Amino acid sequence: MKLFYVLSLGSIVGRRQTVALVALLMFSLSSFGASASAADDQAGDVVQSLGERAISVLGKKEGSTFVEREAAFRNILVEGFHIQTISRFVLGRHWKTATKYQREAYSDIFVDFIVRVYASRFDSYNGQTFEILKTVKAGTEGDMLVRTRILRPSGGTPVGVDFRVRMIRGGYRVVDINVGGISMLHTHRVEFASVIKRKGMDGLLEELRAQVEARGSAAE
Amino acid sequence: MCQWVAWLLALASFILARVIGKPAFEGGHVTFAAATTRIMRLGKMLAMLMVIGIVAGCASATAPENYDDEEYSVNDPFEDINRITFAVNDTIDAVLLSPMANIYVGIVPRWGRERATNMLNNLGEPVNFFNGLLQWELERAATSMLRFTFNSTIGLGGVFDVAEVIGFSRTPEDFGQTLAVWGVGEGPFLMLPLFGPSNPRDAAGMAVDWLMDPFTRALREHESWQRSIVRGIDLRSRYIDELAVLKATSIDHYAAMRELYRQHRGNEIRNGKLPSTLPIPSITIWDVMGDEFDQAASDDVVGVDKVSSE
Repeated sequence: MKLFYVLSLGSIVGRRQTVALVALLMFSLSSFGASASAADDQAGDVVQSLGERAISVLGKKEGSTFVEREAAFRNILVEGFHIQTISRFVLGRHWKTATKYQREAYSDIFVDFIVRVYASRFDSYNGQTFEILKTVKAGTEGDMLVRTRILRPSGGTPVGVDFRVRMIRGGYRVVDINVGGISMLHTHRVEFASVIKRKGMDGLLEELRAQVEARGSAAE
Repeated sequence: MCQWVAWLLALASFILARVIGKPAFEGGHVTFAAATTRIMRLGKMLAMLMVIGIVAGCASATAPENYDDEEYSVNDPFEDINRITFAVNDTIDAVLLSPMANIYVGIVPRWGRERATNMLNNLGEPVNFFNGLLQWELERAATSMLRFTFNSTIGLGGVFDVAEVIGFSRTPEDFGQTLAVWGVGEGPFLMLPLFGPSNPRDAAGMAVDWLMDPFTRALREHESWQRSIVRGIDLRSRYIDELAVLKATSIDHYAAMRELYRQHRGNEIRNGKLPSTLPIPSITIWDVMGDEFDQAASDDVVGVDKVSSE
């Protein structure tokens, strides 16, 4: 209704007053924003530094191989993300029915899988910049959602990316990424469940191994 | 509620069918060609009515509510046949659509492709406008109308998106979204031949969009087809890398595509607003309780809260 609001205000109180009113409104909003809690800033800082590290890896694309970039991504992911939370969530209820051996195998292969997949997905990006919009509270577990957007160098519609971060052992760690409203975690969860339903837990482990190997050989 | 909507849809398409079905010639005698066209149109109407009927039947069947149940809330009873259709679509894409998109990207520079995208988007504005109105999203409807006016005139028939420059970004709406806003559920997942991932609600929405689109009637039949083909190539050419990476990095391409479609539509229906946050159980509880910790029980405690901001 923003449009009508401005139009009607303009016709009632005249243009100069409207400008003053809008300025006042923006001022009050900005001071409201400045009083955001320290937790918001901290969560935002974590995402900011992760983003900058990722972009610096991608920036050196010419002078590096995919294997090198992947190694750099692995560090970023393992330090910035809470892989344990993610891996268990993605497996969902199937964790309970898995054997001890399957659990260990899954925990091992999942890190490789997630690094491979995201290194490949991010590697196609080039020249993008990102900016943090704001941090909001996200429902459960005291999570924060750091809303950012990726701007393409050619212009065009920016892509909204939300990082869900959680305080784990004294630091904020990323537990999910939403790209254009699509949760990566939930997508993997449904995908994994579909594989388990058709091929069983061992089938899933096999598929994950095959994916890691295929990506590895594609990179060489 | 669903039946009510279905009746309304049936009535609307009947009226539209009458309007479109009017003879093209006012001269009095109907030629064979004109009669054939009319019969074909009637056939299309019937097909659409059937689709809408399916919507009413299927969409009222609700998906599982609990997110942690066996299927993870995926409502896909036709999975076997959907997977076959997906494989066929994938083959068609590999031998036809994807090569065409690649050739298009190869010979037309980015500047030209952006002009084409803008023009096609501009032709879609009336549908955005009507659906904005039907959803009572007045600001979005007004934006669509302004965009169409500006871009069709100053933007030289939509070639240049001048509206975007002055702050009116695209507000895509379709009848599938309108139905969702009216309370129609998505129903079971459907993999349509050629059109790809969908569901009864969105499939019916596509048919109604085709009916309400003034350009469907303004253009001649072969022009309408050409427009659809160009739209397909334009759309495909914008996601060459993304789709290739998705296919290469997913362990179940079909399931990944299905989930991406569902979440993408959810985001479109919410007009990009934040969804209610789904619970991600905390791992630290597991660490304390050990491996035997009951995840289902923890989900019950956590529950799904609405996002408190925005």
